[in-house]
Amino acid sequence: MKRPIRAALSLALILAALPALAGETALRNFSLSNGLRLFVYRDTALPLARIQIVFRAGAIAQDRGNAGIFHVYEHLFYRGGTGTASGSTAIKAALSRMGVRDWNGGTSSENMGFSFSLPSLRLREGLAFLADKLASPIAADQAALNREKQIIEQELSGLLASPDTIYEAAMTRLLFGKFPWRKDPAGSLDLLRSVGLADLRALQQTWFVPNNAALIVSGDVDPETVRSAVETLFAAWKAGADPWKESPQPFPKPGVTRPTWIAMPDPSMPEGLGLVELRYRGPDYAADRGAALGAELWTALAESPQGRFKSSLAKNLPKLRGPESILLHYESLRDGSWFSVSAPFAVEGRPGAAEFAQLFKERTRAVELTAMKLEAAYFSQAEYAAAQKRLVSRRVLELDSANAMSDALATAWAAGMDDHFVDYAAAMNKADNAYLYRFIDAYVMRNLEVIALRLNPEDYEREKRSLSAAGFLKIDASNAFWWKQ
Amino acid sequence: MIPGGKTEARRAASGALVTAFRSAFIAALAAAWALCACACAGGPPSTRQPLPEPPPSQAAATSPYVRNCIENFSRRNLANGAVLALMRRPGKSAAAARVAFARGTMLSPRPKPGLEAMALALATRGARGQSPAQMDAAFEELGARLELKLENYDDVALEISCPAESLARALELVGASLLDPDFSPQEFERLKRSFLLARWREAGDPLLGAGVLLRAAAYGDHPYTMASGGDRASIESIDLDEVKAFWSERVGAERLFIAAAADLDPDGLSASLAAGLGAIPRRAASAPPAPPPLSPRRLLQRKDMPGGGMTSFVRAEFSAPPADSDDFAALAVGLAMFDDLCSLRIVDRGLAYSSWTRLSPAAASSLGLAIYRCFRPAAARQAAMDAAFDIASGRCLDLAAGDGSLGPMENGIASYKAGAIVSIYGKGSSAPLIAARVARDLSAGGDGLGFFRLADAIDRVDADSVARVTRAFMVDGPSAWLALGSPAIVADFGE
Repeated sequence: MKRPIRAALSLALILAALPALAGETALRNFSLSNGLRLFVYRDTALPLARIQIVFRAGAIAQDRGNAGIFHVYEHLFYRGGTGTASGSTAIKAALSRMGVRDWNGGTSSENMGFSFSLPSLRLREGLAFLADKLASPIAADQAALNREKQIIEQELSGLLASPDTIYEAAMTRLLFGKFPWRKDPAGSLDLLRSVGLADLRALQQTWFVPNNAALIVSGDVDPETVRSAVETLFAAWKAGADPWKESPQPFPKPGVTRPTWIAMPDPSMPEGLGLVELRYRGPDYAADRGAALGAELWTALAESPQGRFKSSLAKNLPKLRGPESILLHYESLRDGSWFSVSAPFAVEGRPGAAEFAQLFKERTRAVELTAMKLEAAYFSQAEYAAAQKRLVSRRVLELDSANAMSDALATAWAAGMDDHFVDYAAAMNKADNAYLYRFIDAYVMRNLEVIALRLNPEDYEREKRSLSAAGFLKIDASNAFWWKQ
Repeated sequence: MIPGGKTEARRAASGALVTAFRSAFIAALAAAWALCACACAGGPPSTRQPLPEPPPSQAAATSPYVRNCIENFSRRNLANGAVLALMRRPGKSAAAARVAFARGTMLSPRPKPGLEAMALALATRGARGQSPAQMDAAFEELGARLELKLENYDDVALEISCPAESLARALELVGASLLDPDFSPQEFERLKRSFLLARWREAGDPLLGAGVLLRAAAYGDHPYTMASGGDRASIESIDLDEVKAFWSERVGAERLFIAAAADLDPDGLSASLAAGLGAIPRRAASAPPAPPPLSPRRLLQRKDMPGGGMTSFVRAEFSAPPADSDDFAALAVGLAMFDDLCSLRIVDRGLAYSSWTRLSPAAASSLGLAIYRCFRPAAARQAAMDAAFDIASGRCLDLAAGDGSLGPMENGIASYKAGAIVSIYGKGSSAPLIAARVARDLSAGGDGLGFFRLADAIDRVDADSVARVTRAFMVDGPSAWLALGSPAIVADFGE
């Protein structure tokens, strides 16, 4: 999916909101005989419907030899098939006939899926189209595959040259070095070129089965009508063996064996401004629920620019660009979560970039994050209450439209956090300093980080001697990507 | 499409007042096309007035959706002349409001783009009797979020999103702040840093950069070429005295619109605003005039982008009909056809990664085309021009044949009308989106319902009008093109 993987949302929160939405919105879910999970979210605000299919697949299901294969499959999904519409041109015509716009597909590290919107009056046609695509073998034409690989190659070439991509690839290689292909939906050009039709057919038979999928239909739709239609139209889509019968080995924590210092000359950075980041392997919900809730609570507690965390960092590190520029991030995933503290800083003047990074780490980890755990009064009761309220309110706002609900449901289902849906609001309202301490203790105190700098190349040249002396590894396209090692 | 590292490593936007975020801007560009605006030249004169009187609510509506919108819409003037528009959302727990000052870019002195945006942002950072920290705490208590929105050329706005029961109080807080802002030097410095940071992040987006370059070249001194968020030079040059002076002299109720989307009673909401937003004084006898129509200079330019790799970013600008005209709806349908043709002839042929159009319903409407990660810009441009010519000739993709051939437009128009509806309305119906659309229309001189009525206008479109307007605006009308990329890639693209 285009959206990032998010912490699971609360079905209880949705259900709690439903009485207020009676007559206009409702969420139902069904399990069909072929294993397909069906969610129907009714929202009559617009005379439109959205159909979204999501699979527990993506990079998480890859191995060293096939990284990028799910992305190739995604491209071919709308471009080939042996059903009623085959070939990209015919498929696009079929979609346009129904009034479909904004049809989309996405591959991320933990899910992949496809979605499109259409007038609600054409819903059955849209479901029939999707059912036909899913039940039909993928493009049987080598020429179509070759053509698509060329397009992907061009896409990848641009992507792999992007500073953001290079930076993230380096982070992945370091923090998730045991199985980096499981965090890499794009793969490499060599791997792309090696993918064949047989590989894609095998992929389809293994992963794109109804018992590994959820169908979410949202908008101006009637749940019972949708269920009946889906039961009929998707009956030909046969269940397969459970591809998750054996769970993959989880990513270890820490992700690195020692604090790892990296610096990247980055032409997208303006001269005089650098970025510093501390990034850690974070808690996965399924494996460490308490710490995962603690991490989420932490982002809400520490995010206020007027709060102690950010204002203290800004006060003690004058080269930072103000407390409001400091960013906290927690990416909660089924496997491979991470969190970070980052901020822009002025490169000019003393201390130099290397020393500044060391000070940033010291201040963030050894002073502030440690104090969060050791000082019961670091955050007041009022701050805890405000953080919980902020998280819950944010959810209400995030789920305000059928599209948002559908995307959130898709992400959460793919991450295997169904049970968390029910508990989330209640869990967050109970989340207190014990959760926070658990998170900090396990994932900061007993963890190791990557400390990264991004500097304009001119600044990097000026700083490189001190960076090298301080043990910073220079990152660039030649060493960032795991498949180049 | 691969989200790549960006999707999972996207940095959260910092604070409430940082505007665009580099990695999200492309998505925002591709998504919110109904929210951008410019006007046409050469079409029928606009029927819009700078500050229309509250409209009669019996505007003819044919579809249940539009009738429902009209029934749930109310509009009234506050005591100071500011306009409050409310789209009720029965049963919905989320709410949003935009507090917008229209036509601000027409008032900022030319060398100081961003002045009004900074003034509005700073005016919410502390007031008599309420420090910024107290204001932040009050908003937190309400579960509300306050952000500066600079998404279009017709206004600068504050957006509040919160639970419905909090909206009135949140608007009271904003009103109290705007009535008597502190304008503290410390907050000014903090805000300035925040603006500079946001501009820096935008500077890393080549597609955005190409758009800025093109608009400057195509539209000259038109107010819409001034970025409402400013640029690095202008932000660095703005001082606190200028901000204070602008606020006291130029920011007044005569151009204030409050557009809300909430399950609230309009009378109750109006009453709650009386002491705050309803008490902001008028500064001028009338609102600033509507901007002149937009008509691009005929241009075909290329710009080198060091480190551009093997791709380029192509932007084009065309003139467009007034947003409240039937021709605007016809062009929207034509663009659905155009996008399909471009998808086949540009994307599927490997000329670019993607392309899309933007039809902007602002006071001065315009039409834009973006071709993203374009490998052969000259060929892509030709393909786009051929597509426009085909539609202007009354042909579109033969959807029944499904083989890429063209057929009479009459055969496909029903599908494309449906597609235009989905394209325009398919972003969803969240409270912030609804409030933004109402505010957008008000700032552009409409009555607040323009976006919603577009559905009925699209329903009335026929093939002849689609062909006619496409010819008028995309074939015969002026257009400006720019390709930004590495020298090798853009070498054969214009001058």
